[in-house]
Amino acid sequence: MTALGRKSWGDLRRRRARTVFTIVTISFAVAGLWLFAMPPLMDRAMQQRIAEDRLHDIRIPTSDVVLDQADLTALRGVPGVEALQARTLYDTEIVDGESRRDVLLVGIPDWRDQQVNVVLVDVGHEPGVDEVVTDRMNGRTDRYRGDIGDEVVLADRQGRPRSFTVSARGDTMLFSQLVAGEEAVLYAPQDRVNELAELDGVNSVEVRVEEGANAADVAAAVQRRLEELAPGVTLTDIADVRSGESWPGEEIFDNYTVLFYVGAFLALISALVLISNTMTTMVTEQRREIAAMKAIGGQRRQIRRSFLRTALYLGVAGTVLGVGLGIPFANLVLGFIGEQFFGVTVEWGVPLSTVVISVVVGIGATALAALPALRRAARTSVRSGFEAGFSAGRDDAIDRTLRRVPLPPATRVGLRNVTRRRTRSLATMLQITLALGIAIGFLALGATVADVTAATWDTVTFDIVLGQRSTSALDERAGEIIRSTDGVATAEPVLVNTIEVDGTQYEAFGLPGGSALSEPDLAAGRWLQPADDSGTHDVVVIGRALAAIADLDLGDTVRAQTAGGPADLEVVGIDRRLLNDGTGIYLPLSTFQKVLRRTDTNVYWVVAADQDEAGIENLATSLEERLTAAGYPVGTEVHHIEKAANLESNRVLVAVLAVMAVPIVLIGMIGLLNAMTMNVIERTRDIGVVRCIGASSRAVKRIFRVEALAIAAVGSVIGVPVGYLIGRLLAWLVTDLFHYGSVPFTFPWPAIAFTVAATLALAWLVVIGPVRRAVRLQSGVALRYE
Amino acid sequence: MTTSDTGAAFDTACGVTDDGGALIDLQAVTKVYPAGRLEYPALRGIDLRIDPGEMVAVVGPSGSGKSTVLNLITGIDRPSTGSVRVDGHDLNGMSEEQLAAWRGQRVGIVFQFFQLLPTLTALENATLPLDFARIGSKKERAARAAHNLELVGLGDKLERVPSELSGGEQQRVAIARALACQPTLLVGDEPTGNLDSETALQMFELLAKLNAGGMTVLYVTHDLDLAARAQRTVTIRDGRITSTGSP
Repeated sequence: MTALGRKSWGDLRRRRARTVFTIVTISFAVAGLWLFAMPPLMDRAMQQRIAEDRLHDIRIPTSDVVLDQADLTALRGVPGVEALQARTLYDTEIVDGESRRDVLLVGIPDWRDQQVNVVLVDVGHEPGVDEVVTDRMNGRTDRYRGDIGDEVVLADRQGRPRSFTVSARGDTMLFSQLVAGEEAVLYAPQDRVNELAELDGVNSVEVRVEEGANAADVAAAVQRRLEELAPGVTLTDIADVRSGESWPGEEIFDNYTVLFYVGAFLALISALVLISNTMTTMVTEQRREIAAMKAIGGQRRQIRRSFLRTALYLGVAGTVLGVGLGIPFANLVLGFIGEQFFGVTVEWGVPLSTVVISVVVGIGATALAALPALRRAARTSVRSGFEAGFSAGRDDAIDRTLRRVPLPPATRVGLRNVTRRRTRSLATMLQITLALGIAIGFLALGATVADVTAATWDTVTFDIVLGQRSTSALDERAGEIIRSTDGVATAEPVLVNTIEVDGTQYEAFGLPGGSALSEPDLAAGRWLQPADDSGTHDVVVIGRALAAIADLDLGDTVRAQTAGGPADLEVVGIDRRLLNDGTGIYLPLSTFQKVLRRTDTNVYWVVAADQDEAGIENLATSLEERLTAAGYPVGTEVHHIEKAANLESNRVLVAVLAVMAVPIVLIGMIGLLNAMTMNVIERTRDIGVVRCIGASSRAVKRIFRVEALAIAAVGSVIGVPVGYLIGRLLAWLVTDLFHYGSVPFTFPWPAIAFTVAATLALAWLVVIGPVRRAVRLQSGVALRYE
Repeated sequence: MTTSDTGAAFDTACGVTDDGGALIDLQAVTKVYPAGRLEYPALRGIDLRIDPGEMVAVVGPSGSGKSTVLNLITGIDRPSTGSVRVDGHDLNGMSEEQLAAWRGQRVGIVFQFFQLLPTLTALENATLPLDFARIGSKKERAARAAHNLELVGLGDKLERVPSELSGGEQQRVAIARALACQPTLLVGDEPTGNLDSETALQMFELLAKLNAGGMTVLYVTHDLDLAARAQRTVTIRDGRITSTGSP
């Protein structure tokens, strides 16, 4: 190694604390880049899972239809069909004493020959006649906590309790996701499910298509064949056709990863500022050495190269550590997201592309950040270098102003020291501003999401949703039973089903004209009116997000695909509410019934006379019991319970976002620690001097604490408005990604005040180490320090 | 509260004993400094006694151990072996906190490179020891510091920061600071080392004036002319005192 090469190495060992801090900072930034690994890892996990599960490409929900073996063989013979399975899905309840929980019972026709949506068993054995398999997500999300050997009581169609034993734990990609969002899932022999549901056949046909086949065409062909084999069969909902290699929830995941990328980018910016600051400090303190090198023949590029080498050493070390941190960071976060929101176990992975990005950015960005320092090193003249000393006091307006302020002595010294290394102080303030601003921005985003969600829920005016189970739709008789139940103030029939617009499925609601239970907030046009029921053409009101996605405006005709066939609907209104993420479709009940070729409904919205929460829950139970006893088994959703669950789910999401902000805040604090450590080190001689003239260790500590607090305070003050701007940007990004349009922005002042206070407290704590070290030195050692 | 009050309280706290009249008493003192993987013996066993009111110059070639003697006397460094008693205090037995407080109130130190705090004015630098020792009210401290600066001829430059003062003026501020708590001992490590000869002479006359007023003055110098003006000269060579007596 040449002497200059050894110098670069020696630069690192000279100020070990600074070297460590800088490497740690680079490593945090590089670790943040590993968020880019999440999409490919998630996609890999999902594709693996799709293959293992034999996830359907097409799922056709039907009315109860009996299909014998010949029928199934005929359906499997449809061109493009690789595999086909038909089963029964039964929505019922787990009965646990007085409490009831929604559960989907999935029928397995032949456990040993599962063709599509395979139930993968973790542990246990295939279920016998009175046995079920519990989905492993049930316990994780608290939907149902029973395990192997436990008894589980399910309600049959008449509401009678039927006892089963859990024989195994397992999961499926398709149904496990329901556990995360809606209800528990159990798997049972097909015959048993039919027995409970009082059905004769199946109501779900699931298909895997051959490679290269067009799934939409195959779906249409299977439907036609099904109608030929079972005339009178109807679709209870639009067929679910999966496009290409997409997986359930992929779009939402992609949208949220954009936020993660923003976080990684901000972390990188913070780190670059710190690296630049560090290298500049290094060059500044070596000005005399630079001058000496130049005096003995050192050329600019040689000197630049020496410092660049130092920066690259830091970059390499930081990158290696960062990759080591980033791999577990990304995999743990992704593992959590996969389990929590997708019901999928994501195996650990190390995408090569992310390794390459980490290396290139980690080392390259470090070198880039060092450029200003390299320039300064090259430009230092021999004379200025030899004349350099530790910075003297200036006498500009700031210094004169500070001198006029009467302060205790240690405070006075500490505050004035802020102006001594002005560039470093400003750079540190900038880091704290960035760190705090980003933290506040994420807090504001979380508060905005929470408030918008709560406000959206508050636009719902009904207390209970009664939903049809099994094939017994809710007709007029069911409506009479509901309205006559004690405690019901108002009840309206609603038809809920799926409509497909431009290849994407959305939830649609058929409402009685002049519905009193839907209070729209119209962005344009009008709401549904009684006259629409008998109108000459079919009208619809759509959510604003859907209007943006499908580029629809008032007067446009929506060509919608429904379970009953295509329908042309004229847009007469655009709803500003964010129900169903702003993609709701509302049409007159009669129109929807006509399109779906039915005369009944499947949902009732109910308003309770007694608005007390306990009263509402009792009413829900009462309605369920009465309807089930009358032959209308229903499931219930209570508004305030669903609202609480949704808000809780949002809190989890916000917590994940907050985790993104933690590395950035840490980088800011490392920046402050780094700067204060350098300040203490540089002023070790000053410390020796003041100790010589009688300063106590307490006074010395106060000097540096005041300096740290002053830097943190200025950084914090500027950080609040910066945080406001970042929060606005993030909120806009989110609403733009989800096509929400403008939403009220929430800036949570109490949380922000706490964050600022925490930053100042951290600044107070951060200097403990360096200052303690300083006051422990003997005065003589301090005076001789170089 | 006056300096003498705090001084008495300090003496009680640190267990002052009678040294038989000597202000400074070093006995069999050695000092070894670590230098990388090696050790450097700066002092190899010295005995030195200085009485109150003396003006003593410590001379010797570079690296002889002159500054080390001063550092040991002011408690800036601790001896490797031997005892150091100053102003009735056994410095070995004092903690860093106690040493700092004692120095601030009883010893005035003038450094070769001034070592003023660059962001403070001349007045503030001169007030600092009083602030640390919490002697008197703010007004009293400022008044005393201003008086000391007047004494050293800088009465019209109280509000200047060090970068606005010449080397000589900075050194005078340093002397004014050293005088803040009316110390019994004034120590200077090459106090005129960075001054031109005329200024150096003025500085020395100031020190002589202080000595004439009863203050014990001890200074290190490589300037033999300045050394000759002391009442006594102590010569150190290779870490040993080779001679001590009148110049």
